[in-house]
Amino acid sequence: MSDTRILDVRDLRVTFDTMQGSVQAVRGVSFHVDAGETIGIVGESGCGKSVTVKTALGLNSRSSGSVKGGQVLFEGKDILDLDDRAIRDILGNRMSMIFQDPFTYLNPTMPVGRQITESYLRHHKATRKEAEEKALQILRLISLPNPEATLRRYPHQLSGGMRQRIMIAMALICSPAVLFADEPTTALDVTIQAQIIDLMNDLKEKTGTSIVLITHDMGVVAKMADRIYVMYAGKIVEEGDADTIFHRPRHPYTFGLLDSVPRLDERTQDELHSIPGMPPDLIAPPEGCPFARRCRYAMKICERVAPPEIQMKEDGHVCSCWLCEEHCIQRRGEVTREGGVRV
Amino acid sequence: MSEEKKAILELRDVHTHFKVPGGILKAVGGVDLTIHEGETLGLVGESGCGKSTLGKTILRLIRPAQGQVLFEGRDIWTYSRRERKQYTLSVQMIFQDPYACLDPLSVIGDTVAEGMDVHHLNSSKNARAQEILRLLSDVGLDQSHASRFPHEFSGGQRQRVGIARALSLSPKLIVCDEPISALDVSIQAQVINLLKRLQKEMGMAYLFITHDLSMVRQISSRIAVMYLGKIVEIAPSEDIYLSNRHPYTQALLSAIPIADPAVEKTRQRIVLSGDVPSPVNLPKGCAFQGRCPRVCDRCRQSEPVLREVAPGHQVACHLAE
Repeated sequence: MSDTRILDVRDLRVTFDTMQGSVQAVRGVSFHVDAGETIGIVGESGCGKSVTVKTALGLNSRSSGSVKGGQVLFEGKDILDLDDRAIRDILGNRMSMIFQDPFTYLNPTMPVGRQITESYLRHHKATRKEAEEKALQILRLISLPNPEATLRRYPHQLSGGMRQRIMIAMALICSPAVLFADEPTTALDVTIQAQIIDLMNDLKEKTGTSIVLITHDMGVVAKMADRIYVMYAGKIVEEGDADTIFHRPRHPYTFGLLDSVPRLDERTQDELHSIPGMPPDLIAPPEGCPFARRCRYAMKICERVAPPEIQMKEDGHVCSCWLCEEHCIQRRGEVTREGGVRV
Repeated sequence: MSEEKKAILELRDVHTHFKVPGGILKAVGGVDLTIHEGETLGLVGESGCGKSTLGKTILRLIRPAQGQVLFEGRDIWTYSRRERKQYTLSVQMIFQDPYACLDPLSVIGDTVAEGMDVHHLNSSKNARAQEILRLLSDVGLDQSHASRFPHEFSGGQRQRVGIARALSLSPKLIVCDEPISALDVSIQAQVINLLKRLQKEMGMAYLFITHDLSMVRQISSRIAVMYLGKIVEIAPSEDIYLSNRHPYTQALLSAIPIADPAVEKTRQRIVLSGDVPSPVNLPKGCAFQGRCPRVCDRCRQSEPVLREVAPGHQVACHLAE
């Protein structure tokens, strides 16, 4: 298993200094990516998922002072120890990223063809002609109609879905080992979102590139991810394979996240489930479990002591919640999403 | 169900056009729509389908090129100055972006009270202050919030301020333009629950404009699906989900991923190819023909009109017979 492990992030800690104080954006996050799999990192805005990914890409480094601890092991090297030059050799080449808003991230003054070939020319000894040939190959792979003409277009001449495809082409031209996708479909319409999801799933099959998907949309995760990490207040609170997280979640925050999205195949409810309150302030994160104050199962210990990571029955299912602790289960049974207690 | 209810707002063949380089953009191309007292009408569609323009047309912010907007039976464009002011009391709006729609330099109390100030609704300073506190507590905010500035609030709280402002004039209709799409999922449910509770208590009607088909089901009594400036299907909320007839509605629903990997694996989906065409040069016939999986000759020749297929359920498609 470990020889297929591509990316291994261990106990990552990232802090940003602001006028109000130090924001502890990422507080000990560990995750890994194996060859050919899609992992989903889900959580609400401000939970630290984007910071985690940017750090994994080497965009926040130890030298900038924001990374306070941890390791990001990629192809045998710790990304956090590399200098800018070494990181530039990796970015867009072995690891690449697509962003939420394809319009902001494309250069409006350059034809998209040149933007696609840019990273290929940077990382390979190739002529412009060869690079363009490669770009055409990629555009055919993502089944963009009329690729030759599209290469000469400017971003404003393309629709949102086309722009997102161009971003995907830019990210894939060097055949990266890992593709990070930060809310890749949030800015798109649902019918276009469906096209992009299908495309990314299809590309994963064809190229074997692993995908790290960051999103708050449980539907998109259900459609794409093999394994899921649920993040809250700078920590991973639950992780497991997709089936486990959706059908046998154990962390009350995961319950809340699943319940607050009405499912399309469910009838109208009188009142939607919602999680009361708001996430904690990460300048002064609470001592105990960060979710305790919004959690309806909270016990005395939750406020005071942060829960440990508890290995559950299922392989790879880890939950950071006191409810999963053995004594607690013995005393009050297993707490499940359905609201009942299984004794 | 809604038959005996009084219509509060009626659109009759409303067209809204914009001049753009290269022609006329027909954002709304002939919409007939009725909103009844106290109901929630969901208006769904993809970006560029004209749903926000329709909302603005209702608010009298854009003059339709053709057709009428009737509020309680009278055309809003025949209003006198005084009636116009009266209209702004009756119809209010909640905006999408809770960051952009609040004045960063005004405290929340003043923002909430602005509408009341314009209409001189409060007799004294004291009454005004009381009213602000009542509105804030109605939307679940704390009284101490009145003297704070927008930057001190989270997105969900700001949206509550926007709702309090809309409520301040006791409107009969609130146009909610994507009120939850900028919010986090756990907060979205809070805001939907709030809107539902307020409607129960005060009885105003909502026009709920959104692209989120799973949320709109939870709040709407009826849902209208819009595509390229036209209503293609309108029906009681559950019918849209359970017995929809228009291929676009079907595609739209099947495009939304369901938060359950087991269901997703076995689910039949219709993936539309291509993008929404430009509303500047619309094709002859059905606007959906370029993307429709069931397109036939008739669709290219004549444009389908809305026809009733079941009580309260209208579809504009040649094939829905």
